[in-house]
Amino acid sequence: MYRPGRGKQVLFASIMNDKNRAAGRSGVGAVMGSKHLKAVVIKGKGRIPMADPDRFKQVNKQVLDTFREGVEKTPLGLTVNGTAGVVMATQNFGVLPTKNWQQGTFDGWEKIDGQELTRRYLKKNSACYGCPIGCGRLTRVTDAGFEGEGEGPEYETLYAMGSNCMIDNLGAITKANYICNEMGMDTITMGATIACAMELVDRGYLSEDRVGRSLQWGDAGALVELTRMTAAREGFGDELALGSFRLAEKYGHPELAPVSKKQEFPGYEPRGAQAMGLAYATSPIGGSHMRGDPAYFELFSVPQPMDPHIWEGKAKVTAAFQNLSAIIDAAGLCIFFAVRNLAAKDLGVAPTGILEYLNAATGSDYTLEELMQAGERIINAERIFLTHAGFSRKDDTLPDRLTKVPMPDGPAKGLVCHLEEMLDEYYEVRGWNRDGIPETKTLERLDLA
Amino acid sequence: MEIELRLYGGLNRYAPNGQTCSACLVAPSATISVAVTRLGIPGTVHITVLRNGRREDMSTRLEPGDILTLLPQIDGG
Repeated sequence: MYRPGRGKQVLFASIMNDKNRAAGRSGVGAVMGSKHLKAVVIKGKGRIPMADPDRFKQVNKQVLDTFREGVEKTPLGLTVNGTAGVVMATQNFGVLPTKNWQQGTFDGWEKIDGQELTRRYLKKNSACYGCPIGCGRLTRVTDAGFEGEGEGPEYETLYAMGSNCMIDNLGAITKANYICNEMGMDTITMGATIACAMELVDRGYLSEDRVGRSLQWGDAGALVELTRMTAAREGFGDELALGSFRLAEKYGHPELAPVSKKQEFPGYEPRGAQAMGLAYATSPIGGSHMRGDPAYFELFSVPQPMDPHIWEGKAKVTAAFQNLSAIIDAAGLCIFFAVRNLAAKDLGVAPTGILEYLNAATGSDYTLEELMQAGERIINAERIFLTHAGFSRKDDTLPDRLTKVPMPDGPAKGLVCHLEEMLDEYYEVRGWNRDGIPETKTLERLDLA
Repeated sequence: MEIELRLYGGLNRYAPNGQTCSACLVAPSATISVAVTRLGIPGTVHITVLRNGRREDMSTRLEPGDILTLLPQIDGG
């Protein structure tokens, strides 16, 4: 669907769906905008045939019965406070990115947490088609200057526009989130870019004259105004529309951009959650938590907990989660439901539940090994694409801030992210050489040679 | 000895005084398990327990001034 941010080719424009849902990252909306593609409409009355509908219903009933049984014992955090509830976890683990990734805790966190969002602004939960979780938040803000109504914000927005900018004004964050949805922009990159600009100003690399207004840490008004200006590419918004890397590079300090492959990170600090750093660096689309999300085992104890401060042994589990995410994406499923309910309860996270659905729907007889290999094939196919585009180990990076500067505060104080050690282990697990290029024998095994 | 209890996400209903953050007296060298068990949280309720921000074995002995944090089931992001 067309949104103004895309028409202006903001480099982090999203493709919006169902009003408030987004293919949010990597600027896919800017690609649509550059081709003058306004919308894709799918219309039809036909039914999708199913090989064994009775078996499919049986599998579905079993999955939902188990899900509901679990929810009766422990209310699902996602239903109660949405993804916004994650602020509480990242703060207490000391991995809530704060002040453009200079700190891991934020004094104002309770003002931007999911409980506060629920208490102050929630109108009702919303759910995607057929979902029993309903993590979506339909909210309304009546705070003077930030009035509005819409969906969200999600956790990632609260980190990027909140703690990362030292802003504890939930009304302002929610308003900036509405603007991003209405204009079709990625909230992670928007918030992270404003935080980066705040640090450029703080360090004297960028003048407020150039910005056209004051831009200090914690300035809620600046967040909302600059978000609007970015969508319109008006004034300094035209520079923010480039994202943090190109902005910081323009002012001579690309090291201040919190990116991998020039894409901004989601809200988990790799110094205190080591595998997140590996996932960011090896994600084929740059900094992302949706191509394998180690927060599940490092913070949420799903399917089992692993110490977030330890880097040893993380490569194998991170690779397994990346393979699982590739299968979840290919199946058109949501990671929130699938990781907890459709995967094995060990750190191999074999997609056991997805296999049941797949065979019932298609009438095929896939084995678990074949399905797991399909996930591995997707990761390798993407890696081959990147290799042909010139990417290698030199691009699987994190900023020095995360790998060389010890965390100054909180439970992860004194730690750095051990990326290089994890990369050695990771490439070995993947069957890639030390430069991160897939070995011929790996591609032959996966029938990709 | 005195430790600090922090119970978030509705778990404060199990705190001795109903507060989210409070000082709490436990026996010298009490384990994490002892301190959590006395709160009376039903075993079916999923919780994450952190000692000074780190997930540790429940048999770990507490020290004066430790911060014991209990979080409800959380995921997403």
